[in-house]
Amino acid sequence: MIDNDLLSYKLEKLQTELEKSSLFEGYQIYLENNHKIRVGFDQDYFADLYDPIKHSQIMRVEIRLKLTDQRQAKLEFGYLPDITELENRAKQLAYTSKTPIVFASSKLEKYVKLFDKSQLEAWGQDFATRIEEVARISSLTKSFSQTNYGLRQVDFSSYRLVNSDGVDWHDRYSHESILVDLDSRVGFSQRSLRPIDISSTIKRLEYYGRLSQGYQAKSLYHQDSAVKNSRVVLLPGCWEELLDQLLLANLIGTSIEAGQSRFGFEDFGKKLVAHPGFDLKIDQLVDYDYRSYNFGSGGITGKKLDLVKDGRLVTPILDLKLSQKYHYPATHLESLGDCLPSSLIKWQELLSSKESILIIPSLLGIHTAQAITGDYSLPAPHAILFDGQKYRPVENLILNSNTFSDLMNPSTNFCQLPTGEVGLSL
Amino acid sequence: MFRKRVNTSLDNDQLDGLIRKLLDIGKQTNCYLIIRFQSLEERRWRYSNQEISSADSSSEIGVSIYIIKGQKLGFVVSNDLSLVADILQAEIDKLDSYPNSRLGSKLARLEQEPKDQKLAWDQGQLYTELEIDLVDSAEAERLLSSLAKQTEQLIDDNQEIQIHQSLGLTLEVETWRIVRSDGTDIGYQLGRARVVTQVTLTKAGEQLGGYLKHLANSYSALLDTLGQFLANIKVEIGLLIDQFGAEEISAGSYHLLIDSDLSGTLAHEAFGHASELDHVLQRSSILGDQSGHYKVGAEFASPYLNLVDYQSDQWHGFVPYSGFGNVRKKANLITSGKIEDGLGDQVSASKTKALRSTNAERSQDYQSVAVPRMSNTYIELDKSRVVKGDFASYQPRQIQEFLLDQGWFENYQEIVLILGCPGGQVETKEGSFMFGTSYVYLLNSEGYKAYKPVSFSGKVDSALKSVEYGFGKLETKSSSGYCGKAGQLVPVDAGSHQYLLLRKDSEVSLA
Repeated sequence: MIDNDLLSYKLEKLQTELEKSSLFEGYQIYLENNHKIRVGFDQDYFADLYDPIKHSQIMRVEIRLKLTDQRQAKLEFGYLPDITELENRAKQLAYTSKTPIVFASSKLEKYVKLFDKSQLEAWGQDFATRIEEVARISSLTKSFSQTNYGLRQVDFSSYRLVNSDGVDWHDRYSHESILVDLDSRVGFSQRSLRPIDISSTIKRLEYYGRLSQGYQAKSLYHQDSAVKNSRVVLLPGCWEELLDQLLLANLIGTSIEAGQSRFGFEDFGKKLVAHPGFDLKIDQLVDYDYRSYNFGSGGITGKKLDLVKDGRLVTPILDLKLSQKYHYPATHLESLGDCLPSSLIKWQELLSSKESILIIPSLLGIHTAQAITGDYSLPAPHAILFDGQKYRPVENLILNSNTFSDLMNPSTNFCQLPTGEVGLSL
Repeated sequence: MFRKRVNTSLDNDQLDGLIRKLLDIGKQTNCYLIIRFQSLEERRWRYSNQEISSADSSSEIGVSIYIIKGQKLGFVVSNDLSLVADILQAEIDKLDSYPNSRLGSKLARLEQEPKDQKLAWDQGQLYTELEIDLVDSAEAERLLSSLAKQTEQLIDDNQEIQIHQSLGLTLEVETWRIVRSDGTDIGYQLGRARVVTQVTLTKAGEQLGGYLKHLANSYSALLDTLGQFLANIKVEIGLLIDQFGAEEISAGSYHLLIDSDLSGTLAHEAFGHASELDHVLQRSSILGDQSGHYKVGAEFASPYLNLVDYQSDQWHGFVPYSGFGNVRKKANLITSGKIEDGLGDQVSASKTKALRSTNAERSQDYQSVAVPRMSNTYIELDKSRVVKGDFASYQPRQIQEFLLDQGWFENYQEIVLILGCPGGQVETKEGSFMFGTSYVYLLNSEGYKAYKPVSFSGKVDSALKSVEYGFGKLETKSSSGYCGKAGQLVPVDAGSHQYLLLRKDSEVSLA
């Protein structure tokens, strides 16, 4: 772990040498030590050739440097380098920028608890039970689908961030995830910082199992009136990927600055991008929430803020450098799936508002859609219609729309699925 | 200037000592080991708004070990070489409590190739001359700023078009050494260099974006071929400008003329993934039957279509050895329309009753398990179905004129020309695919007209059966990039003749 004596000694030595070096004016060093256990299954094979029981121990070091000639450099290693290697690499990579490098300086707004000791105990002391539980999930999936795939993974990480401005932050993190895929059509994932009770996995599996079995019913054609009059609901993996590709990509500071976003910095705080009832907010300061974090490799700290409020853009996603330049908070966000919707339509409300719900588990080729225009025209090979009682697969369906038009439509809202997950209703 | 050969960090006395120690642990505990070391060096620069906007590097050496003991299989990973022997021993101690492995346990018993091959560094296995430590930020800025300026000059002032662009330069060297308990000890090194540009044009409030990449296996090779990249950027901007104000084409099925970028994607996505034998084993490929056997000999494409996975030289997708340390073989995936080879390792080839193992298992990096993957996948038609010529520099107008001159519109009254493919996805179980497209033109005897990009989707077998003609020479590297599978990205190439003509088919459509 990061707090071991040898590594701490090496880190302190490197810090001393960096401070003595005439090449550098400032530094920030981020260390991450990750221990991962992963086990998977597919079809008839459990913990086998393509998904064996895997133990990995990986170290990652990220070093940001401010040189005395005001150039800057960012270097990554799988080990803690010595000063000579660092100097040589910095000379090669250092560049001049109008935007100066910025190191972490503020205190953590709140120290969020991200490490659950019981997670470590569950895997350390009763490893065999954890593996048996995966075998049970694997076995259950076979009763619902012809082909299946899944995995369970647990991560224990420790982090440390030090810099020449006196910051010395430590953190620990425990994270478990379970992923299940049925017939390559539908599936789900669960994430938690605390041990996952697999009875919740089984409950979710039973719902998706019923959905998966619905594909054996007689198909409807996409032009059938029941399909045309239905309410479209995108399942979690689907809407997250779609909004990440077409909305989040336009909120990234580096894209905005390069003129390759649909938006400019002047649009934030003003521009309406969705109907007034649509919000996207993040809260990364909740204890034991998998979306939370204390600090990242660049020195960005966890935040609680709005990205879209009452349909208006509020905050772009900026690193520390761009945050200082454009005066918005520095934020780390990998996916809009990690946002919290302010309100959810209940599943029963959706059912009563339309004749049927057209469930879209996935769209093929989301990554090919262009963020700037927001246009998409994507096949939904596993679309399935639910009329409140039974499921029927839909053939040849292509979803053809524009994300920004979708968001302006008052009927677009997040909804609560029967599993408790969040869907997007269009 | 750029002729320094990168020395391998995986060929020294210290590492040899560690390898002996690990093999001894395996021997003493009756375990068969496949030990895979990888060293990875990367340098990356981004350029936008007339300056380098970011530059970073990464350096890493790590190892993973497959451990096979009887019916048990373990897999350990670390990038701290001082801990590896202890990690290996700890895993071996736990193996007895693991579930039995039906596939992995076979790794120790199958006859591997090459058997007992000694380390081959001195036998031409250093494939790269990429001068990774000699390119600094000043050099990168000179290159990228020059490309940016030359691109801006392609826009005439009177066109009232604003241009924004960002560029990137990436250099990589990866080195592998794979050692097995059977005495095999092989090593190789690969270099990659790529420059990318993302261009956004704005005219009267309408924004359009294009993306282009240019790849080589060394920085000097990249510089040597930059002229071609600039020519491609010029073509791309011309095509983008055509799109201002373009309408949407009506959804439906058409006769299609697709370029080698898109047809390479068809080869790769539509067929290549389905031919990966782990999918067949998992009953998730249209090319496998319910017993999990590969459908060798089944008709799947037009009778003059051949589909190959092969790398004749050290190109982007090239990899000389498989993830288990075997020599990678040429795979004839489709010959004269019939399924022949699959892409698999020795275990999956045996279980799926494929003709043979093509040793196609690959890993993104040392942390990842090896799974069947493609390298360079391309469609090649029988000579009788290839229209001779070099169409590389042809623009839509010239293509329309050629087709008109040669009388093609008599049999194909209306042809949709599709250029470029920003990516795609395939559903291997049911054999459906969806590809994005970059540029669309409707061609007929009257002329040509640009339309907005569309999605190109359908059934794999219908698409391959509808291929009627190839135009021009083979361009086997048109669609170079990174292929994602099982959370791993590996470099690949794909291509075909410069254009393929697909007959209208109700199961292949544009939307």
